[in-house]
Amino acid sequence: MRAFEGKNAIVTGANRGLGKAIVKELAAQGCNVWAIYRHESEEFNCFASKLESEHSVFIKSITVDLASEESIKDGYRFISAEKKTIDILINNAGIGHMGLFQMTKTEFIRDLYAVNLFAPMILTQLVLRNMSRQKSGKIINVASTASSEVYEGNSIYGSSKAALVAFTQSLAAETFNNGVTVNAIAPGLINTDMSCVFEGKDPEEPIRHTALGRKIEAKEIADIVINLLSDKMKLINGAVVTINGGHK
Amino acid sequence: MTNLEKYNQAFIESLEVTADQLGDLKYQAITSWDSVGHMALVAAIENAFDIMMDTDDIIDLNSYEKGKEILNKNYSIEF
Repeated sequence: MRAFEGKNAIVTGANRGLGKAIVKELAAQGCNVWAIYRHESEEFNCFASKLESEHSVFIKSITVDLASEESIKDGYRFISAEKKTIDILINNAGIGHMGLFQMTKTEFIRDLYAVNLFAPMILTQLVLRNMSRQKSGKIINVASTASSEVYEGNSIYGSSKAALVAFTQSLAAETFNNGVTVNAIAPGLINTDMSCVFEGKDPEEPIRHTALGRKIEAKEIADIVINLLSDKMKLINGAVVTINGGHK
Repeated sequence: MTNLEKYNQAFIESLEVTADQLGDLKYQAITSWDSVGHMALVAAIENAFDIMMDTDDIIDLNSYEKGKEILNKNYSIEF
């Protein structure tokens, strides 16, 4: 039997990169997915249809502006109206940024925090209502190794991910006795469209100090996420799993 | 069931109280109405009236009487 047969997951930022890879692996394990992303995408719709046929699951696209609390609530209402369990929440969507703090507009900082931190908080607060009643659920927040790294240009993105980590760790203490685990993954540089934001003048810099010495493939991280979601991991709670092959 | 009966039932079942305790009931005034009990109460109210309460309303619902006020004002539930 597939690992998540009959389960239902919400994945944000589902239409590309890591989110898309996670959707693919969840579907392969029998999980239905509500795929949240910003703009309608014919390409993703084709991808989703293929997964639906191959794995006999549903993959429903829901367009949500994660910078808008009202849009998030609308998206949640749509999901909640289906009266299905919400077993998994992957807060994956994020805005990447590398830039000197004093050269960054306040408006951009607010927008970045809205998507990277407030959106996961708002969506989690809504979904926890379902999970608490179910007495079961798994939440994974996609943070980043940037949350603990120190380098020029990282003050905004890095602080947003550090906040997401702190949120994960303390929230986990509130949810465990309701049957809900909350964990974070902290990948290093992933081989997706977003990675170019972090390369700066020297594309080798972000990977120079990792033992892996290359960008991580989205599927490699999705495989780890799938394992973390397993029932065998039910005692893993409030953890931050660094995924970069280690440092050298 | 009238709306008042549904509302009372939500309190009685989720907080394990009796009908005569309802009038003066306030959040954290009894052991069963702690934060966990509160979420169970909210779930019961939402199910009873088929509504989805806003987070601000959930937080503001701090007494039996206040709850009626909120449901009436924000969800058009008449008692």
